[in-house]
Amino acid sequence: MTLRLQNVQKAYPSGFMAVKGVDLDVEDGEFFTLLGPSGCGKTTTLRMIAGLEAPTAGKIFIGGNDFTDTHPRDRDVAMVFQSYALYPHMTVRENLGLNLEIKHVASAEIVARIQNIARMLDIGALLDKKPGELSGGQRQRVALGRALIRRPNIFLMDEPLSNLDLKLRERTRTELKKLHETLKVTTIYVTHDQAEALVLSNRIGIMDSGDLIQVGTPQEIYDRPKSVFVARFVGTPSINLVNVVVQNLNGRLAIRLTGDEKPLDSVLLPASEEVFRKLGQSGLELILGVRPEAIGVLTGLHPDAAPAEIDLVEPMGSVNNIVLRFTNGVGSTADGEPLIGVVTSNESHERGQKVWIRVRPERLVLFDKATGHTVTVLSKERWEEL
Amino acid sequence: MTAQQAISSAPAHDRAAAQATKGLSFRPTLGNIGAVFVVGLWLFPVYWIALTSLKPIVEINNAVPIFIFTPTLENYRELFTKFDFARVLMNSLVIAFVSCFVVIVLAVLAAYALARMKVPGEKHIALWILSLRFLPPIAVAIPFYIQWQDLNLLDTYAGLIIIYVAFNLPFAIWMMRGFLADVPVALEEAALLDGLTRLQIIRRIVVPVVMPGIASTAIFTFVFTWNEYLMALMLTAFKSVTVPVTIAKFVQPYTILWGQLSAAVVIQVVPMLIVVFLLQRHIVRGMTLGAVK
Amino acid sequence: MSVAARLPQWQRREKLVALLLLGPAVLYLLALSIYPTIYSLWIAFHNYSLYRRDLVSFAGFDNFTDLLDSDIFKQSFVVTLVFAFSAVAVELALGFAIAVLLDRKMRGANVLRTLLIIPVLISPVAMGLTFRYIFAPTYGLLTYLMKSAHLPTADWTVSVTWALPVVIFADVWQWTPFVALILLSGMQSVSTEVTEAAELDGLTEWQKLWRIVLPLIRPVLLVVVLIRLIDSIRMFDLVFVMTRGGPGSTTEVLSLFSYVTGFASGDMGSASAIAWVTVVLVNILVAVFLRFLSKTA
Repeated sequence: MTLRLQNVQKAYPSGFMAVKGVDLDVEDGEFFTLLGPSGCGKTTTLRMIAGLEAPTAGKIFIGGNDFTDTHPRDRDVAMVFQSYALYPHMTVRENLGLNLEIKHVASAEIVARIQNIARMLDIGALLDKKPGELSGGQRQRVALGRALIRRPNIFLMDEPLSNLDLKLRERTRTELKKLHETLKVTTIYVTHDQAEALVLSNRIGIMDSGDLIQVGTPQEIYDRPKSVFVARFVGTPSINLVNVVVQNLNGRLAIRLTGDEKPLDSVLLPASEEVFRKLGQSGLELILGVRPEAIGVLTGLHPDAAPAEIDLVEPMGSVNNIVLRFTNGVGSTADGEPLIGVVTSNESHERGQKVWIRVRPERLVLFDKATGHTVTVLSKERWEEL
Repeated sequence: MTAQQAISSAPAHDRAAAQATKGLSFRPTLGNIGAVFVVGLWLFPVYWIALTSLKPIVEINNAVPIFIFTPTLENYRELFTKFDFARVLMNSLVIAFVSCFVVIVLAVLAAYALARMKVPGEKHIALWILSLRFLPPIAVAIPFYIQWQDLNLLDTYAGLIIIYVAFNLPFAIWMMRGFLADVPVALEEAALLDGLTRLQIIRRIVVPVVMPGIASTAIFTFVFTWNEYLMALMLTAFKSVTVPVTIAKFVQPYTILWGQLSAAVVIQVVPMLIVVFLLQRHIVRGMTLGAVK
Repeated sequence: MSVAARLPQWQRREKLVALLLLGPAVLYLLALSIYPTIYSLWIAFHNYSLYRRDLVSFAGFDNFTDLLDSDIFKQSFVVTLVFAFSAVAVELALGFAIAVLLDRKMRGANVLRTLLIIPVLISPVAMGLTFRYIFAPTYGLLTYLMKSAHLPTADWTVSVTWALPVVIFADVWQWTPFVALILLSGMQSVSTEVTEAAELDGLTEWQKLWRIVLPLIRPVLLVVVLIRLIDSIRMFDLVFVMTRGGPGSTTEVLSLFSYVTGFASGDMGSASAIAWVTVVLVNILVAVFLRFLSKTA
């Protein structure tokens, strides 16, 4: 079942706009995640899809039909709440079967479906227990079961993994993905955890302060963020933001660190005409976004590299995060934060060590210094528009 | 952390729960023995009246109170044979149970609306309801007497029940509102998505979950009605007279029939004892809720 | 400028359901509380005799001003205040002590707590008469015990000096457990982490109690005191069965005075006026307390 949000808004009587006009098209069977920080409006949007809150403007279409004013009961939408919201006085079996019973499904059918779901989610042993007797992970599976047993058109999930501890969360995440691949139900998933969003989704919608900022596949969002906000929100460790000055050098984009006279040799690459035209509008001082894995940390002197000093080494198992600062007056970061590079843990580095930084031409982004919007993205050794 | 946080950051009875663990022992420290002693001594008047009720009438008015005697049930027998106590008891039971039932039904529905739905002027309604609790009964006793006289409701079941429901409803709504607020809204939203109507949600989801709260409220209403005196005194005469009024009648101009009186007191207290022992958890919850909120 | 909330039809229906749920209770209360309240106030401003209801006439504030000239009223007023504040003060002190005593890890602590609820649930009539029996001048248990110990005894419930203290005693007996249990619950809901931090900081048990727990339960404490004060001012049953206001008017609290004025003399107008003075007294108390409560919040 497809889902379409058309200019959906939610304003509160105080004047506060929780959701500021969201347009969204979700395809049938797609796993779509609304990702953003707390208070960005993602849960409110989800609740409007469910019908638990009414939009103050805009329309909601399910399967092409206008469901904006329809009662939640009649939307055939199932939801997994953050707190699971299992009925504490009913057994798991009764929890699972309640919605079918209300809709007058035949009892033989109910029994069959319960058995099916129990097998699929491995909760057969829990059927006669009450939610109070279950662990967090078990309750979560029962909550999933209660939603899935209805074979809904649309499946909503509100941060279902946030109450689980890390290992369980990772395991459940994988199970969720497998489940979706099997059942192919249109799913809208809300989370603030970007790792979850990247793993699970077909497409992600990033929200901030009520606005839907960017929609794309996980790879698109990661490689081609529309703004500093998006680039910073997705990816761990966070993207590095470096102050640079750019210049057209014979059709190639020359990028210079602050305080440096020579442009960085490693990223002297051609750019399209539209990019140069846009640069004319944006000015020459920009912010370069470099992912940690695109920072090369060199111990030997290298003519092109910028000098730096290691502040801290964070061992992460198979890789080390190296926290660095520019030295010798060359280079500065846009937010004052240190740089982070990622190296394999086989290489050894230590605090205070003087090294050289080289920027690899991978997934680089140039942002407008004033607005934070993306000016151009490096793709296949060429600077392009988004 | 703020006072509110410090008090509510721990689950409400975590230390009380710790006290309830069976693994604890009773060590004869000064404090422990003192606690037992104080509570035991406190209840002395209850023992005394119970003891008195079992004494032969002859011994009761003796200037020398005795502790050792042959227990007898003659006081109780006299109650039921000479003073028609069975009917009085029945009156009290019927009035208490019916009042309780009506109060609970009205209060749960009203409290649900107040707790869940945006009712216009709800703060004013809530405050007005609370202020009714502070009204001295004597203030409204007079108009009720006059009105009931005109409506022929004196000395009837209905007459008392109507008033008791009115007296208990405010506090019951207040209590239920508190209990209902503790039921997570997500439960009802899940039920909404599952397809239940609002009334189905109340009946099948909310009421079962809030049942302990209902029990507490019911107990309070029952206790109040069972023990109430002023209204019963004024509004009943013979047909629907209740136990407390009858007990007081044993104090007669020239003698006090202590024997029958003490037996009647014991009978009046027994249901309360049953309530305490069966439902003490709910009582404490109710009392603390009433105080804290 | 807020966006006009165009409510879907099903939400409008829910509003109707809400009113239907709330409606019966509110209507019932309106009829049975507002109406008598207004009627009662009306009576207070009229000359209204129970035995000559045909001779009702408007009296303005006369009923109230007459009270100011009445010595019995003034005594009743004083008796009520003395009773309320003395009883509550003792209940608070004793209740606190008992709460501290019962706040311990001990097998059977729960049983003790349960037993302590009993006095609260017994009707004041039953307990009043029980104490009347115990305090009876000639054959009461207390008199007997005092005489046996060669201590001076008194006429207790019929003594001018002792009647009020005896009534206070009965009230204290009945309601101290209530105060104790509420304070106990309050004390036990203080997070153990807070008390453990205090222990690590070096505070003794006593210091913990006074400087950490007590301030934290202050709101609960104030609410309990308020409830008890209000209920004490309204008290009727206990004094009616124990002393009937006597001897003289030494225990004639306002509620009783109102009752006697209304049903013995038949002067409903004055009785209502007295009742309304009580209402005003209670409201003043609540207002003072609420201001106090909000200041400390």
